[in-house]
Amino acid sequence: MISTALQVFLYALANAVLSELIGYHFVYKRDDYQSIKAGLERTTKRLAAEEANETNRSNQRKRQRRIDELKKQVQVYNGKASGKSMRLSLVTAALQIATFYYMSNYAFPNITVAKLPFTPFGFVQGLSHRGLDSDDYTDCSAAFLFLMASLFIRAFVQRYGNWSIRKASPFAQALEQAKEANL
Amino acid sequence: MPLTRRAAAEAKPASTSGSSTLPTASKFKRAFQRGQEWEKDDLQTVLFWALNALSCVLGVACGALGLTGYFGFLTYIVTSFVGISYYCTHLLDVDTDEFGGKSELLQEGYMSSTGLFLFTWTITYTFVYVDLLGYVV
Repeated sequence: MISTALQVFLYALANAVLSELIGYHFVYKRDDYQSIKAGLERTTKRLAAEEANETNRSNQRKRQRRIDELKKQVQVYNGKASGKSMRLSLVTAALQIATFYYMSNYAFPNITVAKLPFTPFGFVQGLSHRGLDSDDYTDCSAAFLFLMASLFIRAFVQRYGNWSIRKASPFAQALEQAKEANL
Repeated sequence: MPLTRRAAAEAKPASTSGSSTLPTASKFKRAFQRGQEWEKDDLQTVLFWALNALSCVLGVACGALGLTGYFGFLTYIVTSFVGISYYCTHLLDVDTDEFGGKSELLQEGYMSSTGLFLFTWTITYTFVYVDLLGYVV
């Protein structure tokens, strides 16, 4: 059983590396993307320095204006970067979905690749038991193991390459928005 | 909104080595030293790998010990939270509030560390209790 699970791991690794290489070749290594990345880093650093800088009351409004200006610049850079990488996101998502379907329908059909040490709840069972005939919901399908592996392998490959602009997770973005709403 | 002229002039192409201010080897050497001055980006990188390493160890431990169900999840949540807090405050001696708090520093590590924990937990459990001992059928 463990050798099948390792095969699934290799599929996930190959998928993540291929996605990142496609991204590097078509988007990240281009000068326009690099200039956006450099500009964003510079502006973010200036914004952090400005926010940390304590001034007296008379300069407060001036400082606030500068902070607002820098925040707008960060938004513009983020928008531009998203525009550049949008087509890439579609390609990598398509690649991932294709691998997902290939694995559950052709490579490992009705094969239990691992035993889960927990019983998944609700809608997760649809994934973890995808394509399996057994009644034991601790049986793990190749598709679910592939998703679990992809969660960290993609992050590791992106971190190692460090070519793209790193984005906060949806959870962190929601946290940031909640903070701003409270202010 | 268009970029200001000053911002556009500052936006020069960067090297492909990334935004980090320190080379990787130096960064990881400092990850075991107390009371260092940290840039936010470097600290985020070190905590990202620390959380993932901890998750991997926890996954292997939970799988080998045969923890199942909510008990395994609870062990992971409590131990990773306590472990990272201990690492920041006692080993690195860093005030995380200066960098926006732990949630901001670890924002990129949550998803990957959860995935890594689930994966290593499942794989180790399968290897030990199904392949080696044949307890679970």
